This record gives sequence, structure tokens and C-alpha cells, in this order.
Amino acid sequence: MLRPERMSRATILCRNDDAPTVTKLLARLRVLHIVDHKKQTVGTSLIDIGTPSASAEMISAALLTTKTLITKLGQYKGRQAPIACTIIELSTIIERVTTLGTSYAEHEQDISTLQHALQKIEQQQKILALLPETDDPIETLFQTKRVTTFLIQETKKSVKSTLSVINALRVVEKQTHNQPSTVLITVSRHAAEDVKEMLLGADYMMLDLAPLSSFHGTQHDAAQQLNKQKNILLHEQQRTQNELESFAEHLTFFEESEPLLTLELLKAQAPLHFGRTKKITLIQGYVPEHRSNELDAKLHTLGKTILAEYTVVARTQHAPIALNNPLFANNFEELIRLYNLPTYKELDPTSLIAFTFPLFFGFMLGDIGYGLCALVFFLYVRHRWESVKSFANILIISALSSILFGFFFGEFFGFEQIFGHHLTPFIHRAEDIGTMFTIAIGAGILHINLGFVLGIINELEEGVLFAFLHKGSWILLQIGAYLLAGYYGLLNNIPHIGEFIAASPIASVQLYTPIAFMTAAIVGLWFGEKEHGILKAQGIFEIPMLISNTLSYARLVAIGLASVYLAFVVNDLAGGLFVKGGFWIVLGILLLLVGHTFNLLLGMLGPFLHSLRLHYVEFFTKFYRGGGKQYRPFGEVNA
Amino acid sequence: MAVDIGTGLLGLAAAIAVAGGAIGAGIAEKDIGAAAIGAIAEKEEFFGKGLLFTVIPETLVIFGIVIALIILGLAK
Repeated sequence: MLRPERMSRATILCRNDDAPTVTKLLARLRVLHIVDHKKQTVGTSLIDIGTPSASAEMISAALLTTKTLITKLGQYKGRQAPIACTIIELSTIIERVTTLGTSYAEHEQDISTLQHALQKIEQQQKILALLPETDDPIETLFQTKRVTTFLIQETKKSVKSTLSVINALRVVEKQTHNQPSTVLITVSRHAAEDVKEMLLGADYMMLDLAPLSSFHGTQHDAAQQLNKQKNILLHEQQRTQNELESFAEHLTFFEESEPLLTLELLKAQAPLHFGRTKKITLIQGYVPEHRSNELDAKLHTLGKTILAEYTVVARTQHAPIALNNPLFANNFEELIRLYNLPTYKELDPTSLIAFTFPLFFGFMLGDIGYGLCALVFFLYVRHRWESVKSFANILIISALSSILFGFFFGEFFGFEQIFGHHLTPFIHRAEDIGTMFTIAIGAGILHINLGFVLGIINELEEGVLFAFLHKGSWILLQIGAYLLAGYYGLLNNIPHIGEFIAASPIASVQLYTPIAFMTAAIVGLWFGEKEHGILKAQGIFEIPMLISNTLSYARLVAIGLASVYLAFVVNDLAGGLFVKGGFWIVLGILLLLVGHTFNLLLGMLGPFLHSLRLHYVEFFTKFYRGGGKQYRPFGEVNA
Repeated sequence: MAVDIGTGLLGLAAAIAVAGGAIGAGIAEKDIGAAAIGAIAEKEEFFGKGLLFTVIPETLVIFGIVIALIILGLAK
């Protein structure tokens, strides 16, 4: 429960011919975390890395097409009734994916070609619209042996007087509302270059007539021809687009094929992780200890010559991490993953967090009304978004804890009554702040020292003396500090427990006792540090940090108080409006809704983050290093 | 509500304690927030960690509140 799953190192040897069968079994069992083989020579024989199966490339291409089409067809989802599909053979899937993929690509190509043709027509229409009207056929506009025609457009800077000095054979102007006018100028060919220079010099814009070069007949004929062509192309484009969208009916097939192809690709590429000689294949990996017998039995039922060996991995060694927690703590594993997985030799604090996280959250939010709202909200989130289910579960448990603390503090949306029934608080947290701080700091001291105890257990492997010096010294130091505070009577004013302390042996302790504890602790911290030089004093330098860490638990009260006071303010303001009556009542209700929603949102975010922070920063730094590698059994498609 | 000058000054001191902590936390969170947003823009999975790192300096405000409450305790 407090340790990651115990692992066995598995070494499997089989004949090369049997390797695909073994791979298939391993993919089905999903139990072996395969470790990449490194090329090595044993004796005189080289154990090389295996080669992927011949089908790998084909499956890979099909998978790529499948993923691409899932993304592309996703935009048309719901427009086409999906065709129900049944799981079929791999070869049929690949064939169908390839056929559909090729056809889809052809349709895309057709649409692209049609778009290109439409753009060309639109360009031609644009030029035609700018062309001044003449009765001459369009083909006469182009350069002949004798004449050259220019189509120019006026700009803001154009010098219009230039047109009158040009020795042109013909000048036709077109003036349109809201558009610069265009001019068609025909000149003799030998003067063409000079005229062009003059026009450009006079800041006219030259328009290219080339797009119209393929036309014969009048401008009217050309316009009609272009309209007709455009309509045909638009119709064709729509038809192709409809056909393209109809591919969405195969979306279910692609979505169901994707995990299957991913698994098949995994199997086809598996030899890349194996060692291989001319005759033998070597597979190495980790299997949870309690499942090694199952793996062994299944391997032997294959009826092949297979040699398998399992060695339990000692806690001092490295192995992939499979967290192993009881059902109630499972969801809290997400919080560990968010930080860092523990290493194989470390303690897994998930089960402890499953208690302390909701406790801290509830203590901060502690209100029946807010707790119920948070509960409903996170139940909805859990139902709506599958991907954040674990986090939603954590917050549902935390919301339940808030409701319980709500009864403890006697609060319902900041009021001390619930539907007319008076709530009797065990602690009135807005008034009895001293007691609240005592509880919060007390919880902090317990939490931090729990961390130190876990730290001692974690480091026992490195030597009992070292573990006690490195982590135990901190506990000694605190005992010394609290005894010293007791000696000077500083603890006597603590609400509720002050009198108890004053009457206890702590108050009558002699000065040398706390000093002895603290001296022993400081010596311990010095010798408990493995580093040399100035770093040897690292532990001693960190003593102020311990004080700051302990005080940090005051946030348990501070966050809660902020929430309580905000609720009070909203209730007071709304109450003032209710007294005025009439329209003000509506405004009061609105204020209550907006104010409490805002407070609730803050109340959910704040306690979550601060509770998490108390674990990550204050608690984990006492014992946790992390850095473990996730256990990913071969055959898990989403791994 | 009339209070004597001593109580007023204690109230002011408490306000300065919280304000100082809040300004300090704000300055610290400014840089962390900017870095966190940068990281989230690169990789969305950093959202959780980014948000967490951003609240770390809030301890300063908590310390401010503790000091303020101690100061207010003197006023009673």
C-alpha cells in the first residue's frame, strides 16, 4: 500500500521462428514492461537488435492514413449517418483504409484543381469588367504585326494630361462609380515601348490583358462564356465536396481501426526492442511479481521451446513504477503523477494524501452550502469530461469533507442557520481565530513530522544511523525547541491546551534538557549530511526553513477566513437591500447569486491549490525525491 | 466608532503587514506567472504545475496575515 508494486525482472529466450507467437501472447497479456535491448557480445556471439516484421511499414502507412482521416473527417461528423462496422481481419482493414485513403486524396486533389480553375475564371472576369466597351472582337486587343494595345488604370498620382500627348490610334475610356477609371490605348507597334514608358512615368497602372488571350468574339460573348464555365465548375465543386463529406460515414470504421492498427504496429515493431542472434530471440523486461507465475504459465501453454527466468528486484535497485493503492486512494495517484512518480525504493504517499488532502480542503472551504454546490458541480464535471474523472473524484471527496467541516463550523453560505434551523458550531471560526490557528499549526507540526518519519524509513536502506541523523535530527530539534518554549512559558497562552501544558512536566523542565536536545540535533544535522565542505552545514542552514514550513500551515485558517468574510460581506449587503423592499429585493437576490458564485469559485480553486501546495512543498520535501519511470506493459495501446 | 490613536496605529500596522506581504507575493508571482504561461503555451500539460508554482509565493501574504492578527491581538 505504501510502496510501489514489487517487480520481477523477466528474461525470456525463444527461437526466432517462435518470436511472433510470443510477441502476440505478450501483447494480449499486457503484463511485461519491455526493456530495450542494447547490442552486446556474449562470448563470441553477437546479440544484435531485432528487425521489425515485413508488415510494419504497411501497417504504419495505414495507421497514418487512419489518423489523418479521423482528424479531417471529424469536421463533418454528424452530417452523415455512420455505417456500422464489425471488427475484421487486419489485411482487410489495411486494404480498406488504403482504398478509402487514396479515394479521399483524389477527391481533395479534384477540389484543389477546381478551385484553381475558378480562381482563373474570376481573374478573367475581373479584367473583363475593367475593359472599356468596344465592338471589336477581343482577339484584336492583342499585339499584332502593326499595333499594340494597353489597358491602364488610373491611380491617385496619375498625370492625366499625358494621355492627350500620346500619338494613339485609339483611346477608349471607361468611368465607373467609386472605381478608378480604366483606359484602352491602341498605338502603332514601333511606338509601343515609348508609350509604355510614358504611361508608367505618368503613374498609370498597367493591367495585364493576357488572361483574356484565349477568347474570341465580343466582350459580351466572353462574359457569357465565362459565366457558363463558372457555373459548371461551381456545380462540379459542390458535387465533389458532397462526395468528400460522404466519407464521414466511414468515421466509425476509422475510429475503431485506430487502436487495432496501433496494437498491430506495436507487435510488428516489437523486435526492435528484442535481442536477436541467428537462432534465438531475447526478450527482457519487468513484470509485477504477483503476475510472474501467470506469465510463465501462459508462455508454457504455447507449447514452444521457451526459457523464462524471473528475479525479484530488490528495493535498492531500479524498476518501473506501478502504483499499488487501495480503491479509496486510487484517484489520488493523479496528484503523485502531477508531481513526480516515486522511485522503486521510495515510499508511495498516495494513501496518506487520500486522508490529508480532503481534510485540508474541507478545513479551508468548510461550509455546508458551498460544499453541496461544489459536490454538484464536480459530479457534473465527472459525468461530462471523462479525461478529468480522477481529479473530479478527488474534488468530490473533498467537497464531502467541506460539508462535514461545514457542520463542524456551523456555516451554510456564511449563515449560522439552514432553512430556519439554527446550526451550533463546535468552533466559530470567524471569532475563535486563536483556536483555529492552534489547530492549523498543530496539524502542520504533525504533517511535517509524519514527513520526517517517512524520510527515516526511506533512508533506512542507506544505513540506520544515517537515516536517524539525516531526518531524525529534525524531530529532535523540534522537541528541543518546544521544550525551550515551554521552559520560558511561551506555550501557556495557547488557547485550550495552554493550561494543560502549564500543568504538564513540560513547564517544569530544566533548561539543560531542551539545550541538550537541540545541540544533539545540530550535531546530528552536521554528521547526517553526506556532502563535504560548506555543504556539510546544509541542514543547519535549512533550520529557518522549518519554521517557515510550520507557519505556512496558517494558510489553512487564512484561506478559510477570507472565504467566510467574503460570504459575510455578501450576506450583509444583500440583507441591507432586502430591508428596502420592492425592486431592491430582486437586486439583493442577484447580489447573493453573483457574490456567492464568485466566492464559491475562489473557494474551490484556493483550497485545492493550497492543499496541494502544503503536500508538495511542506510535506514532500521532508522525504520524497521522485523520478520513477512509469510501468507501461507491452500491448497497452494508450501507453 | 471612535478609537484611540494607539489602536488606530495598530490597525495601520496590521494593514501594512498584509499589504507588504501582498505586494511581495505579487512581484514574485509576476515572474512565475509569465514563465508558467510560456510553458503552458509550449505544452498544455504544464497547466497544473504552472498554476501550482504560481501560488507558491502566496505564503508571503499568509505570513502577513499572521503578523497582522498578532498585531490586532495587541489592540484588545
